[in-house]
Amino acid sequence: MDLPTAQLLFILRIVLVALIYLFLIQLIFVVRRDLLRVGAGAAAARGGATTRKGVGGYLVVVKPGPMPLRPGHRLGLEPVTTIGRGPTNTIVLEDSRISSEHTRITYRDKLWWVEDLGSRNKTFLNGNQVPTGQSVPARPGDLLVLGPADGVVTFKFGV
Amino acid sequence: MIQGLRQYRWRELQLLLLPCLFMLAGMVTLVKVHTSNTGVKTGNLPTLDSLIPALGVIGVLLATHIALTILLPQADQVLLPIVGLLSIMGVLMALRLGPDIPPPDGPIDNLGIKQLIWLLIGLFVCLATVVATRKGLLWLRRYKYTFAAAGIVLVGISLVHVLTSHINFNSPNHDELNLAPGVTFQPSELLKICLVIFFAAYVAENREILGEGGPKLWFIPVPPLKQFGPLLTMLAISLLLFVGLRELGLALLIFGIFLSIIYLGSNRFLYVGWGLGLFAAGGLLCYKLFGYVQARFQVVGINCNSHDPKIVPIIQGPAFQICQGLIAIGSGGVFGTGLGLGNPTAVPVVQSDFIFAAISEEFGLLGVMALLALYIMLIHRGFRIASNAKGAFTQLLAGGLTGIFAIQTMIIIAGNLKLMPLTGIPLPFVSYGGSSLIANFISVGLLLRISATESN
Repeated sequence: MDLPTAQLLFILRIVLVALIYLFLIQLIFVVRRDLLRVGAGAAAARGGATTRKGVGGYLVVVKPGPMPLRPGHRLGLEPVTTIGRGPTNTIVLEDSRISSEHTRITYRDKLWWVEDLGSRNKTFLNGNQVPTGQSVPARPGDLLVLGPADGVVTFKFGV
Repeated sequence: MIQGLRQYRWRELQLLLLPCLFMLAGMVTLVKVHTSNTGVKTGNLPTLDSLIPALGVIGVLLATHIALTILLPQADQVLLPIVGLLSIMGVLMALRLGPDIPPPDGPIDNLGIKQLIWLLIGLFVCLATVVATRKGLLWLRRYKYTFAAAGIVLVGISLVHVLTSHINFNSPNHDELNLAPGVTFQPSELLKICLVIFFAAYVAENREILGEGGPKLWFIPVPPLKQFGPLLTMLAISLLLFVGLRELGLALLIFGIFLSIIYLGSNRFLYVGWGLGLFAAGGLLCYKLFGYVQARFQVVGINCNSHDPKIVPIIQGPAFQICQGLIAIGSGGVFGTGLGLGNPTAVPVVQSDFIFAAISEEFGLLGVMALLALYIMLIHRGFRIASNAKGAFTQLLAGGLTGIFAIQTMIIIAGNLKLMPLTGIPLPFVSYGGSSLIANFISVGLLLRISATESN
């Protein structure tokens, strides 16, 4: 039995294009299953994050001022981090406009709290002065400025 | 043992089945068209024995599949089948077009076999990339300035070559180097990858600052120039040289990659806005300064059916290729003429720059839609790998490599359809050409490696 050439070629033509479309359909099924699995995984990860201890914050140097810091440099945060001119601080900033104990950052109730330690030139969070002796919560992306109103050093919060 | 079977890449094997069937069906079609005297076709087609080695494509893909199972069992399983089907399309078209290419360039009877050998080398390079990055991708990041320097050297080679050999600038492949008779190499293909690595590493390091934005000029935000210095230098060197080499498509491609990596890294539209603004200004300047840019744009505005005595010489001259391409696309219609039954070789250089027109003619609108869908799936997969990757550098690298595929596909298809000035950029994986195939498979190797480290 020999199929006439024209018919055979017509069938082959349809088969060729149909094969690509079948492949695409198969592909979409695989990708869809994949995305569903990823979605379920992400939901599980979100559930887990609330119970995990979330100490992992950092400060990113935005404006180094006169300090030997590179913009973009990351400084990891301890659960209690102090910033100031004194040598006992976690982050030491050698500048006359920075007080010896300038700012304290603490991790409490799953949040980072910024506290001014009675510095002479004050601490600013997103342009607002942090009142002395009070703690203000900081979110990722907030800008932390130390020093006079124009700022000696600027950091950005990250978690 | 059960663990081993669970690790086996079953899904990849399943997905490879249909591409292999496609190859077989395509070969049967070509043989049938060749042996039968349908009277539809007057051109030359490959003979039976020249088709048999094409079975090698299936073998090569399966061998790569097995090698990946051993080397990198947890890598993405969708990438290889997509890329495989695209490459199969490339080999099939090279097989079909080679013997039909009119003199003086053709007929090239072994074009398909050559493409098959390039594919073999490409897949080997892909696996070599996977092996070279087995200890992680960080060494790529550490040597970012080395890659930048390598990029400059590659550009320098092209430039010296063009300046010393007095090549006709209008020839479509004037940036190729002849390594051996019949073996050419395009440095620009490797340059793309070097630049993506450099841009990704640099932007990843300065991401926080770039995301912050810089000073303000009056009320318009300006990018932070200090962090931008090295990037702009690299960009300027490559762009200037390519405008000098008259590779406008490549300049556009590099610029597109630059903008996408900056945008992915900083998430700020500011840079895209500045980039596009500067690009528009530069483009306008080039248009005023260089006659050949004007000529390219004149071709876009032309009506290929015109009988105007002023336009006919252009249709016969600079616009000949693109008008023939449009005729080929049009004569394919919705369903196409069928593989081997069209006359795509009427278009000059159809096997590399105008492969899209050849596919449109023989597979029709339906086939071309499927081809575009394949590219969309490839790009989707690449960006998914990028979004799942750990660390800014790997994310940006995956995003940038995927960006190359996306921008390249867009530039050449828009060029074929006369929506944009035509530039000699290959359609990824499908166009005939060794350097581009190898460079693309290096990208695939890197993407596979990135997708495997994500799940750890």
